[in-house]
This record gives sequence, structure tokens and C-alpha cells, in this order.
Amino acid sequence: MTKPLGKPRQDSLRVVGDEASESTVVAVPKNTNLAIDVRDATLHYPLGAYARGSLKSVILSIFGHRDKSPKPTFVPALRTINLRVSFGERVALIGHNGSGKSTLLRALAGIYPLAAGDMTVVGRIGTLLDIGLGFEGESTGRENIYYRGMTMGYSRKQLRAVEEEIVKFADLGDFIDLPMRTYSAGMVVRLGFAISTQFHPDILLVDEVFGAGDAAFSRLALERMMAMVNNSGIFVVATHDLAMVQNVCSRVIWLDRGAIVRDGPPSSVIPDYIRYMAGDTAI
Amino acid sequence: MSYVNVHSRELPFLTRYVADLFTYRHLCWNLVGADLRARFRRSRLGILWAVIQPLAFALMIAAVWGGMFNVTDYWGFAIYVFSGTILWEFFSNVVVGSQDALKGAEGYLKQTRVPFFIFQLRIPFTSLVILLFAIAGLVMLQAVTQKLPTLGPHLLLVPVFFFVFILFGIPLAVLMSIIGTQYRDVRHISTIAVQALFFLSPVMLQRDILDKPELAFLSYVNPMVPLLDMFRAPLLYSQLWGQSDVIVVSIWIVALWVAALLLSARVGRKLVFAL
Repeated sequence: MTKPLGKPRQDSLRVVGDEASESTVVAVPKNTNLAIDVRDATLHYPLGAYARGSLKSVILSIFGHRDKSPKPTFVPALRTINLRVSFGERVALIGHNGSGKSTLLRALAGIYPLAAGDMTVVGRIGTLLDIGLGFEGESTGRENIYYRGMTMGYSRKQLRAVEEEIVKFADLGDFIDLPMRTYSAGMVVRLGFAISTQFHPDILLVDEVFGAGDAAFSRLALERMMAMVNNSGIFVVATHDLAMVQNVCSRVIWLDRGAIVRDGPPSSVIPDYIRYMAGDTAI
Repeated sequence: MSYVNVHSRELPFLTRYVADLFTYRHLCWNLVGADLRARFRRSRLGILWAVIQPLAFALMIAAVWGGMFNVTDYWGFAIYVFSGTILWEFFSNVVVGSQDALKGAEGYLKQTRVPFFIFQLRIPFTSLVILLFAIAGLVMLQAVTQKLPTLGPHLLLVPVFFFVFILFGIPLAVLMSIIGTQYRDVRHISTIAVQALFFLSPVMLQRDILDKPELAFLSYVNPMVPLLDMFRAPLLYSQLWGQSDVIVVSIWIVALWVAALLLSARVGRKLVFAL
């Protein structure tokens, strides 16, 4: 009835087949060495062309021209973050828009490079960030399953084994064999979600994707998402959904302007955060 | 600063990088396939256009240009122009097209830590496949006009040339993808530069014109001159490669690789912020 998933490149997952409950394939992490270790991480988000990158300024600088009013060249997006996450922890990153939640997730995934500090992540990382992006518009949905899966480090053979499951979950009908440029935005997200949640990584990094697509899909998506969360060794989510945080997470990290303000169990951090957001208290 | 993602055991940087390239190799081949399919999808003649387009161009140019310069051997000149055009197509695609290689991969690069190199290889490999198809057309044209090269050891140089050419194309693509991502004006400048270089290369310009002393420097500063020589020598003239061409091309390849590696090391993954 089910096909056990191949596991790419590491030995920390045990694959469980038929005895799994709702989810067809469940990989149970048994490697308790999984960890995230962040020491003095600082990340600068460069302003690029807005600050200096124009060719004109480069050419002028060759001739000794210096801008009289130097503009800032970067925004400090993370400031000296120190963090250790161990096996089994479910961590929520909360804070204002622009507080550095998504940046920290991307830094943990190795997407954004640090300006200073060190990060060590032990375990296979899986991300749910911008799941609607990174598709080839001229290729069909089915072809894109392969491209996206390969971006996640899986081989054609491994993807062939789960292709039909992904197609079934995305439930796009005949559209699956049409070029993706013909899809609606919701369909793109559904396919992205179906692919990204097919594999269960050791360390799951999620940026606010609870509730993809329409209501009926959302419920299924939530179930599938929770199976993935439950099977991950470490789960880190950037979110504004405090109810979800209370239900799912064991630890909350409150970020503000790129620095950690509070770090603790939801029962102690969330009430303070709510009071702060309501304007009753300062940080 | 450092970032390490340990899967099963810690590996030195270079080993890890090569292992990553190996992991994502499927992605690279499949994206090349996607590009080729996208290029010729919904067209009845499909990849045949890779032959028809330069062929039509060569026949036209041979008629007009050949008439102007009193070329006696029309078909010989058409074959000459055809061979130049298909090689130029590769060069121009790599120089101009590669500037979008990373921008076009934003959706991938902002989701996972895929090596940039996978996307930088995309354009040179796609262009190489198109070139190989076009060469089949070239050989057919030679067969029809009874201008096939003679059999001999020089034919062994034909496959070697593709290896040399891709060795030249890859670092060029890497450089252009990085520069094009950082400086958006470069696209316009490079389009003009490639056009200008076209008229300074023996694509449709007869080769002997470039032998004039005042133009001889072009054989060194314009890498496409020796590359076109090396492409045509075995295929069109049944000859081996000229020594100076080999030396100049080797120097260009080494210089481009050094520049591409230095620039890649310098910008690192910071480029992702510019996407």
C-alpha cells in the first residue's frame, strides 16, 4: 500500500512503512545528536544597488570620486544571536514584521551568509520558505515535482517513488500535466506544499505556511504539516499565530530588531509578548 | 564567520562542496532539459530550429556578403558562415544569457542551500546541446555540397574541441552571472560589446582579413578568433590546430577560471542578497 521513502545521504532516519497512522510515510528520527548551535551570529542585509552597487559609482570611484554623503550600506538584520536548540525541541520565533524571524530561519538553513559568528546545524535540513517560488513556468507540474525534489537533494529514482503521492495530495486534476504558467496562485502553492511536505527532514524550518490554499485544502495541509512536525527532530517556525505556538511549541524566542528579547516556554514568553504588543509594557 | 551543516560527519569545505555538487547533479541536467524543452516547446519543428535558423542566416549572408566581396565559392562561404554563426550563438548566449542565471534561480536559491554553480552551468550546457544539434546540420550541409572533411587524425580534434569550448564557456558563465547580478547595467553594455565583437570576429568576416598586421592583435585579445580557427580547422579544412591558437586559448581558459574562482570565493553566498 505504501512505498517507504528512500533517505538521502544520512543515516539518522528510520523509515516506518505500513504501521504508520494517517500519513502514508513516516520517518522517525532516532538521532538525538541533532542540534542547532549559534554563537554570536550577526547578519547584515546589504542594501545593494540602493547604497553603492551602481556601475556609475564604481566607475567614478576609480577616478577617485567619493560620495560626499555616504549612505548606509547594510541593515543589521541579526545582532549577536546566541542560541542552542536540542533534539526534540519545537521552537517558535515571534516578533514584529522585520524583527528578523525569517532572516534567522534562512541563516539556519544556510541560505543567508553571516557577517560574523558561527552556526552549526547537525542533521538534514528541510525548509518550508516561499513554497510558491522556484518553479519552471514552461514545465509541467509533474516535471516541477522533480526539479523541486532535486533542489531538496533527492534523486530522480527517489522522486519517482513518491511522484503519484504528491500528485494525489496536490489534487490538481489534469492541470498536473500542463505548464505551470497556466496555474493560479493557489494551485502553485498547493503543489509547492505537496512537494515540500512529502519528505520528512531531521530539522524542519518553517516560515508561516500554515493554511495554504482554500479551506478544505488547509485542513488536509495542517494534518500533513503536523505529521511532518511530529516526525522532525527539531522544528523551528517563524509565526504570528500565537494559538498554534501554544499548541505545538515547547519554546518561544521573541525577536526584536534582530536581537533575542526573551527565550523561554510559551507560558512565560507569550503573555509578556501580548502585553507588549498591546502597548502596555516596554521590552 | 562560519556556517556548517553536518549530515553524518564533518567534512572539510572542499569535500563538502564537491559532495553537494554531486548531490545536486540531477537538478543541473534536468534544468538543462527543461530549458531545451521550453525553448522548442509548442513549435512544430522543435529543435530543428537550432539548424534552420543559422542555416538561413548563413545562406543569406553568403549571398549578400559573398556578392559584395566577390566570393567565388558560394557553398564554401555558406558553410564558413554557418560554422561561425553556431559557435557565436553559444558565446553570445553565455555572455548575455548567463547574467540571468542566478536571478532566474532566485526561487531555488532562497529556499535551500543549493550551490550557485549548478545554476551557472545551466546556460553553457544548454547552449552546448544546441550547438551539437547545429553541427549535425553543418555536417549534412557539407555532405550535400560534397565538402566533407577528409578522414584523418584531425577529426579526433572535433570532440576535443567541445571539451575545450565548454571549459572556456563555464568560467565565462560564472563570471557573467556574478557580475550581471551585482550590476544590472552590464546587460546593456555586454549586448553592445558582443555585437561589436561579432564584427571583429571571423564569423562572417573572411579569416584572411584578420591576418593583416594592423588587425593581428585581435587573434590575442578576442578569444573567439582562435576558437573559431580551432573549430574550423579539422571540420572545414581537414587540418590540425595551429600552435598559436592552442596557446592563446589555453591562456584565456586558465585566466577565466582563475578570475571565476577568485570572484566566486570573494562574493560567496552574499550574492543571494542581490537577487
